[in-house]
Amino acid sequence: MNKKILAIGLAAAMSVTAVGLMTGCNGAIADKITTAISRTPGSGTRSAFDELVTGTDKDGNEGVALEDMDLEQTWGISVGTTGQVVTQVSGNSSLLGYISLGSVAANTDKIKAVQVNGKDATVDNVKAGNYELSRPFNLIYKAETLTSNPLAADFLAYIWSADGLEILKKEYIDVEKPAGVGTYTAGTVKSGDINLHGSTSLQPLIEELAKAYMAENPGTTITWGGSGSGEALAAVNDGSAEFGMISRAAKGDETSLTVAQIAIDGIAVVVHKDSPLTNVTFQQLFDLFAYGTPIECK
Amino acid sequence: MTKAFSTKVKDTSAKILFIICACLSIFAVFGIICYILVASVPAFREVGFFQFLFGTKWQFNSDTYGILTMLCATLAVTILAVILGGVIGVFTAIFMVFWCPDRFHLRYEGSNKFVQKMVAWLNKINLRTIFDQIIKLLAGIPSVIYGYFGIIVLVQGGLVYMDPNYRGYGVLATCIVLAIMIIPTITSLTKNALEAVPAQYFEGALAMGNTKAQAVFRVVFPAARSGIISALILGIGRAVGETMAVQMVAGGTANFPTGLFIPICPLTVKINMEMGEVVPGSLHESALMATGFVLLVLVLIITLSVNFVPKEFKGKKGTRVLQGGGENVVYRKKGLIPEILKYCGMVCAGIVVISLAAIILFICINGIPNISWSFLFGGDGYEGHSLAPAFLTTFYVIIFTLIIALPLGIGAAIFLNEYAKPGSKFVKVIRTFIDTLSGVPSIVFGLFGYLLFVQIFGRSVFAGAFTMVLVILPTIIRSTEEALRAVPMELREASYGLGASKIRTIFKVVLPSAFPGIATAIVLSVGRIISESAALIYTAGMMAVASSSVSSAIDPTNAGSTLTVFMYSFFAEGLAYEEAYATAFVLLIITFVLNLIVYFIQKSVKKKR
Amino acid sequence: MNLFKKKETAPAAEVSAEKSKKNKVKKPVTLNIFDFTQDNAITVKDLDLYYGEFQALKKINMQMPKYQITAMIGPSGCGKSTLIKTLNRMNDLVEGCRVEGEIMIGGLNIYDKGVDLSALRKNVGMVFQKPNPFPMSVYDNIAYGPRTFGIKKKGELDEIVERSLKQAAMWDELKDRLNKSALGLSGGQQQRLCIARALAVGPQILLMDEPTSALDPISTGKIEELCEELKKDVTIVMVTHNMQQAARISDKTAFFLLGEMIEMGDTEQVFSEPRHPETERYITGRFG
Repeated sequence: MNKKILAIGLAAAMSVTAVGLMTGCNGAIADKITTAISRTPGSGTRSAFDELVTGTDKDGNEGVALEDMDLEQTWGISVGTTGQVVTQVSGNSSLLGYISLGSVAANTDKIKAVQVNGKDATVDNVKAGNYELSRPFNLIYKAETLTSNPLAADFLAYIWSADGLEILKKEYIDVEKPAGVGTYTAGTVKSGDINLHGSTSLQPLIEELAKAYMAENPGTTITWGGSGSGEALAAVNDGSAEFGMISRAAKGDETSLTVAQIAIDGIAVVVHKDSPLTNVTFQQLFDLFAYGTPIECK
Repeated sequence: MTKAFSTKVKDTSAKILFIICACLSIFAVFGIICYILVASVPAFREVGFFQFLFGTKWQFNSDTYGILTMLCATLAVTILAVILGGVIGVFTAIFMVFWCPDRFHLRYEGSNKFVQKMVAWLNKINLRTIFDQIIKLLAGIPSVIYGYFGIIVLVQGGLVYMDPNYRGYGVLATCIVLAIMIIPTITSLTKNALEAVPAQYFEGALAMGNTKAQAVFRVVFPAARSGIISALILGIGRAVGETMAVQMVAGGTANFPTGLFIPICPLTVKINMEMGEVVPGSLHESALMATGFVLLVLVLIITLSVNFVPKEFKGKKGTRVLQGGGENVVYRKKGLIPEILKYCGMVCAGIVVISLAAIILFICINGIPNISWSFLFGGDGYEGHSLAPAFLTTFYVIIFTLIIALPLGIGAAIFLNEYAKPGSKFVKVIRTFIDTLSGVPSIVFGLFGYLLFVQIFGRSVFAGAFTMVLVILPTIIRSTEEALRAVPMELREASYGLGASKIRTIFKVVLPSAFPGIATAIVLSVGRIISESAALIYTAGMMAVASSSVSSAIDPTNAGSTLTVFMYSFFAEGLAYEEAYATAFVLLIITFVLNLIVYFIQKSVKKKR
Repeated sequence: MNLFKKKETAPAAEVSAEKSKKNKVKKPVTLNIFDFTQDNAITVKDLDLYYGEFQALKKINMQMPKYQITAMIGPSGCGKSTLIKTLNRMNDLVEGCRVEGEIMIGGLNIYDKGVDLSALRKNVGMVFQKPNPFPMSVYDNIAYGPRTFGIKKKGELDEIVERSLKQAAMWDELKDRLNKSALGLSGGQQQRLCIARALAVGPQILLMDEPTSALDPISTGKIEELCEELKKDVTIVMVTHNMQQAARISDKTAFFLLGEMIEMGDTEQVFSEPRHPETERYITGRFG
C-alpha cells in the first residue's frame, strides 16, 4: 500500500514539474539587462556591430571599438543566426541582442527594438544619418555573369526599378545604382534560374524582391539560401550561386569579384517585447558586451 | 568454356566484389581521417600543434586559434551527461527488463459496457512493447527538435529561474539535453546486455533466498557489466559528437566550464557556428577542419576503447587464504540497498516517459494548430510556406542514398557472413572499422562531404546523398548481417545439396529469407536520413525556406533542404516559428510511423519462426 | 553442522525477541520463521496448480519425512518439476501460475499471505538441472548467500565458505583456487559448487531438479555420494529421470503421471512391488 502511495506521489510530483516546464511561464519581467547575445564571430551583422559600437574601456582609452575587445566571456551568449537571437530574446527579458532592422517588423509580437543613443531605429533615421548602427548590403558576382546570364543582369537591374526600390525602401535605405547595371523592363527575360547565397540578413530583402520579380516575369526561378556572409565567396566561385550576399563591407578575396552595394541596413538592438528598456547608449552597449556590466532599465 | 569454369569465374568475381564492399568501410574511415587531416595541416603548421590544442584564445580576425576551452567544455559536458544519462538509462533498462509489468491488471466490476470494453482493451496493451517503442521514438527524434525543446522548455521555462544571472544557458542545460539524447542508446544497449545474461543466474539467486531486487543487482547486473560499459562508451561517443541540439543550449561563448550556468562552446558548436562564416581557403577554414580532426580523434579513441572492455569475469590473480574465525553466525534479513535501487529504476523509467511525454506534448501543442494541407503539399503557387520542396528533397536524398548504400551494405554483409571465416583477423578488422564509422559524429561527416563531395558535385542533393551513404552504411551492414545470420544453415545445405553454386544459393535462397531483416535496415536508414541535419547542411545545402520551390527542388543537382534542415531553417531565420513546430510535428509522425513499420516487420518474422 | 542443529532448537520467536531487545533500532530477525521439529519436513495437502487454464497438478497429497531423500519419478510433463518448484515458490516467476491447496513446511503454509519468500528460500534451497554458478570467483559464489543475508565479516564468511565446501566434499579440490572464476570448473564441479552454495545459507531442505542429468557418470556418482552424506543434516527432495538413481539413493519414491501422484511409498516397495499397474508399467518399461 505504501509503495502505491509512493508511486502515485512520485508520478504526481513529476507531472507537476512537467506541466510547469511545459507552460514555461516567463515570470516577472527583469528590470536589468544582464546578458548580451552576440552573433557568431565572422557574421556580417556582428562584424558591423563590433566595428560601429565604441566606448571608453576600463583603462580610460576613448573610442575603442568592440572588435578590439575580447568578447568571448561568461556574460555573453553567442548564437548562429538571426532567428536564434529572436528565440532567445523573446524567451528571456534579461537578454539583449541585435538583428538586422529589416527582420524586426516580422517579429514585433516577440521582441522590440530600443533607441540607440536616443534615436529610434527607423529607416528614416538611418537615412538621415541619425541612427548610428548601419551597414551596407552587398552582392558580389563575377563580372561575366551579367553578360552570360540575362536573368542575373535583369534581376540586378530590377532592384533599382521603381517597384524594386519601393520594396527596398520599406525597411532599408536605397543607394545609388552602381555602374554597369542596366535598366529593367518587365517581360524581357522569359526563362532561366539564378541562385543567391550567403548572409541571412539579406535574405528577407531578397525574398521580397525575388517574389515580386518572379511574379512579373513568369518562367524565371530565383532561389536563395546560406547561413552567413562567409559562404558567399565560395558559392560564387564554385558556380553554385550567381550572386553572393554579404551584409558588411566586402573584404579579402571578395573584392576580387564585382561588388554591388544594393542597400543600407540598420542594425536594431532588440530586447523582450515587455522589457521596460527604451534606450541604450553606445557606452552601455560597450560595457555590456565587453565587461558584462548590466544595463538598468528605467 | 565449360559451364563449371564459368560458374567458378562468376563465384570468384562475386566474392571479390563482396570483399570490396566490405573493405569500403575501411576506405571510408581512412578517407575521412586523411581528408580532414590534410585540410587541417595548414592550421597545425601555422598555429603550431600544441599551441592549437592548448591555446585558450580563438580569434580569427587575428588568426589566433586555440581550442583548449572548447575541448574542456566538450569533455566536461560529456562526462556530466554520461553520468546523468548513464544512471537514468541503465536504471530504465533494468526496470524495463525486470519490473515493467507486461500488462495493466485493471479490474472493473461495474456493468457499463463501454467501460468494460475500455478496460478489456487497456488490459490487452503490451506495456513492455510500448516502453520499447517509447525508447525507439526518443532515439529517432531529430536533434534539432531536442535543441528547441531545450531552449524553450528547459532553459526558458526552468533553468532560467535557477541561474543567478537569469540566463539558464550553459553547462547544465547542455548536459541535461545531451543526457536525454543518449538515454535511448544506453537504455537499449543495456537492455540487450541484461537480456543476454542467462536466466539461470537469476533463478539461482532467487533460489538462494534473494529477493528479486537482490538477484537483479547482485548477480544479473554484475554479469552484464561488460555490455553495460560498452553501452556507456557508445553513449559517450554520441554525446561528444552531438551538434545541433547542443548549439542551441550551450550559450556559444568559449569559456572554461567552471560553473553550471557558464555559457560554453563545445568543439562541435564552434565548427557548426563558424562554418557558415568561413572564407574558403583561409586559415580560419583550416582551423575549423583541425577542430573537426581533434573531435574525430577523440571519438575514435572512445569508440575503439569498446574493444578493450573485458568480456567476462576471469578470476583474480593469486589465491585467497582463509583466515577462519567467527563462531556464531547470525543470518539477518538484508537487502535495503537493492530495494532502494529498484525504486530508482522505477523513478528513472518515469523520468524517461515524462521527458518523452513533455517533448511530444511540446511538439503537438505548438505544431498541430499550424498543420494544413497547403502547408504540407502546397505547390509553387501557394503564397505561404510549404513543405512540398522539402518532401521532394528528402525523397531524393533517401532514394539516391539507398540506391548507392544498399548494394554496398548488403555486399559487405554477405562477405562477412557467407564468405569470411568467422573470427578471422580480417573480419575483426572490418568489424572494428564498421563500428568506428558508425561512431563518427555527423558534423565530421558533414566536413568530409564538404571537402570531397561538394568539390565534385557542388552543393547539391547528390553531395548530400553521397555523404549520407557513409552515415547509414554501418546500419545497413549490421542489420543485414543479423538477418543473414538468422537464416538457418540447413537452407544453404539444402541448396548446395541440389548442386547450386554458392552465388546462386546466396541470391536465391539466403537473401530472400533475409528479406525482412533487409527491410528493417532500409527503414532504419530512412529514419536516420530524415533525422539528420549536421551532415546535410554543408553538403545538400540549407535553402532559405521562402526560396525553396518545387521547381528548384525537382532538379537533384540543385541544393535543397531535407525536412529536418528545413525545420532548422525556419528556426534559424526567426520568421516562422509556427511552421517550424508544424514541421517538427510532421517529423515526429514520420519517425513514429517508421518505428511502427520496423515493429511489424519484426513481429511478422517472429511469427513465422 | 552444529550450526543448523542449533538454529533448529532455537525457535524463531525467541530469537527475534532476544534480538529486538538487544537492538531496538534494527529490524527483528524474521528469517527463522519455520519450526523444523516435526517429523515431516514437507506436507502437501490437496494441491492444485494451474498454468492459466491448464491444470498441471491435480489434488496432490504427500509427506516428505525429515532427513530422508524423497525421489520423484515419472515421464516428462507429468508435473514433477512443477511440484518441486512449487515447494520453494519458484513458480511465482511464471506468469499465470495459480496454486490452490496447502504446502506445509516447518509448520507454516508457504502459500499463506505474508510468508517471507526470502526466509522460505533460505530454508528451502534449490539445485537446478543445469549447473548455474554465478560469473564470480568460487569464494564469492559460496559467500554470495551469506552476504545477502547480512554477513560481512571476513572471518565469518571464510568459515562458512570452508564449511560449505567441506560439506560438499570439494574443499580439497578447490581450496587453492578460491579466487578463480567458477565458470572455469568442470560441469560436475560446477554442480557440486552449486550445492555448496545452496548449503552456505544453512537450508533445512534441499530441492534438486534433475541435478545429474547434465553430468557424466563419474560426476553423477559423486553427487549421489554427496546426497547420502548430506541427508544427515538436510532433507532432500529430488526429481530424477534416472530410475536406477532413484532406486540407489532415495528413501521414498513418488510416481507421477499426467499431473497426478499415482503412488508414493518406500523406495524398495515402489520398485519391487508397486501397487499401481501404471507404476509397474513405467518402471518395468524403463528397466526392461
